[in-house]
Amino acid sequence: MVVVLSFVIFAAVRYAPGDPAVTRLGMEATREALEREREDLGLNRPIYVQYAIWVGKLFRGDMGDSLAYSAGYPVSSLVWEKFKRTIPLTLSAMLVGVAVSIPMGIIAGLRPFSWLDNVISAGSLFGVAAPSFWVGLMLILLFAVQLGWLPTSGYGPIGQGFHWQYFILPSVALGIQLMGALTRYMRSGMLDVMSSDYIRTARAKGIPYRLIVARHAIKNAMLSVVTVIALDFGALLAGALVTETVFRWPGVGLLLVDAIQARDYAIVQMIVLITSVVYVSFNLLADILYGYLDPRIRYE
Amino acid sequence: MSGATQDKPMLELEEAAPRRRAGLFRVIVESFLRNRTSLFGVLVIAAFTLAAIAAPFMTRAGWLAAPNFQDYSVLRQPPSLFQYPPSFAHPVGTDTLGRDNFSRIIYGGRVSLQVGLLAMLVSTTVGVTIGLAAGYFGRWTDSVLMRIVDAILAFPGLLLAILMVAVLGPSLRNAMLAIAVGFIPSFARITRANALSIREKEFVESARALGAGPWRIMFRTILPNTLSPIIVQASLGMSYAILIEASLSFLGLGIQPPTPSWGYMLSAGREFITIAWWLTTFPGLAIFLVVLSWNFIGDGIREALDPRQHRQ
Repeated sequence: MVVVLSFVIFAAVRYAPGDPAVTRLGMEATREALEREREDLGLNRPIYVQYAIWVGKLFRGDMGDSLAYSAGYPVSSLVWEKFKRTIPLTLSAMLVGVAVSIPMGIIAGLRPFSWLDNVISAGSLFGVAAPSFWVGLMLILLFAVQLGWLPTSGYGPIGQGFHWQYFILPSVALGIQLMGALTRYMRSGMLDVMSSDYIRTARAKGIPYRLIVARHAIKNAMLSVVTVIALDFGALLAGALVTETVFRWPGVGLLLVDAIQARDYAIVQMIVLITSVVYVSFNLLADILYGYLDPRIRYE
Repeated sequence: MSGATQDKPMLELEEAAPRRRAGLFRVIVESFLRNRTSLFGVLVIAAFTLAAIAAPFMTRAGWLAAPNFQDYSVLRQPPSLFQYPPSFAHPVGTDTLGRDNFSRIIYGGRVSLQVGLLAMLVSTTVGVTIGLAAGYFGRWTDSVLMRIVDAILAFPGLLLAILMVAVLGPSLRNAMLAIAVGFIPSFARITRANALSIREKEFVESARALGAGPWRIMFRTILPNTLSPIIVQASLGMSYAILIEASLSFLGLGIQPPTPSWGYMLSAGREFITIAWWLTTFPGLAIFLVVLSWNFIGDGIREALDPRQHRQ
């Protein structure tokens, strides 16, 4: 799968419009200089040779140099620098999403069709349907502009440690994307479990309701939710790219947009490759986790 | 990537009934419209669609400002920039160039619905064809087609769209294409799974015995019987397509100004968020309403088509 990924990404970028040699030397470069530059960049060799070289370099951690966005700077360290800011954001968004949606789902699942369930279900629908970048903007309006509690955007002074104030709004905006789906899953998981035979048996044995819920129901209802969380990590990472633009968060998302505008395809290539590999890995992890947590499921 | 994780919960197929009775259709429509949320969804989408279709005529008749018309009565008295808060003449305010936001939201709806519909049309056609062929022919056709589908699935949907638009260049057509490609796998997989089971049914065998060729069997015999999950998927897909289109336009990778689009309006409004709240609130509200409504419609169709519902 990763091989297919690398091939698609390589081909897409290689055949993208725009000549890297022109990007490097500018529009006024002479024909001879352009030709020499193409030679240097290896653009004149057969496409499969270029692919092989690209993959070979990839394994050595050499992802080429940035062409336009920040010329001459190695892409790998550039992208890595930014990922170090995006990953904490993704993780904290995930934390927010999980911390809110699991209890919500449990409450809604235990009292289906009560007013509390209706409120929670409506809330989760909002989470599903509201675009996270709009939610982000609305959060800025409320908490930063109207109330003035939190900074509107940014990362805080870079290189001066951790600034939690800047984390809150982006994490919540991104986390809402997860909340909607997760609450629904948790709710239906709880509904399924609570109507199952072993819960009835436990109740018949006289085990207190609280204990049943805490010991038996939640654990089993969490089964499918855990895999959904793993599946959603990749989607969350992709969502972070948009959320970053809203909050001017100097991470991979902002870099990606800038690189696309500058037609710096080496950077675009790298970001898409890394994000997709993470996405695929987490999909795989979800499958493995599911089989591990639920021994009834076996893959051939 | 195979195994426990399926894209969407699949709905049960009705037992083989190659030709539906006319009565069943009415039962389905009635149970769909009796559902309050799906009725809400239909009304909202109908309103937006009607407004989108009628917009040019309303502009010509003078009821609606042109989306790029700069209202000079507003411009003559600039505070710092030209955006004005909601007023009687401009119910949701004007933007930084003094253009009527209400009109731009309605015209933006044209783009949004257009992209959604076309993307769904393309991805349903391609995805269903792939799914039918894979499910019907099996063997190497199946494995080749499904490998291609898996390759698309390896990308997170939004990222695939971003990559494609980055490579092809930002435009309405490319955004639509990028979104369509991302939705092919889900249609292909659903159709294939159903085609696999329907292929073994007696009425398919009888069609074959009557001398029907593979294409006729695929599109005339199998397809009508696997239509309901596809319709559900398409209406849910509309909501995601609109969401992705808005994200692309927000990043500046979708529809290019001056054509109004909801995503771009949001990103333009973001600059002035501290002084003009209406610039970001209303276009987002439009996206939210439309996406929510398509979700409602999808859920409503799913419930209405569920045969277990009608037995009660």
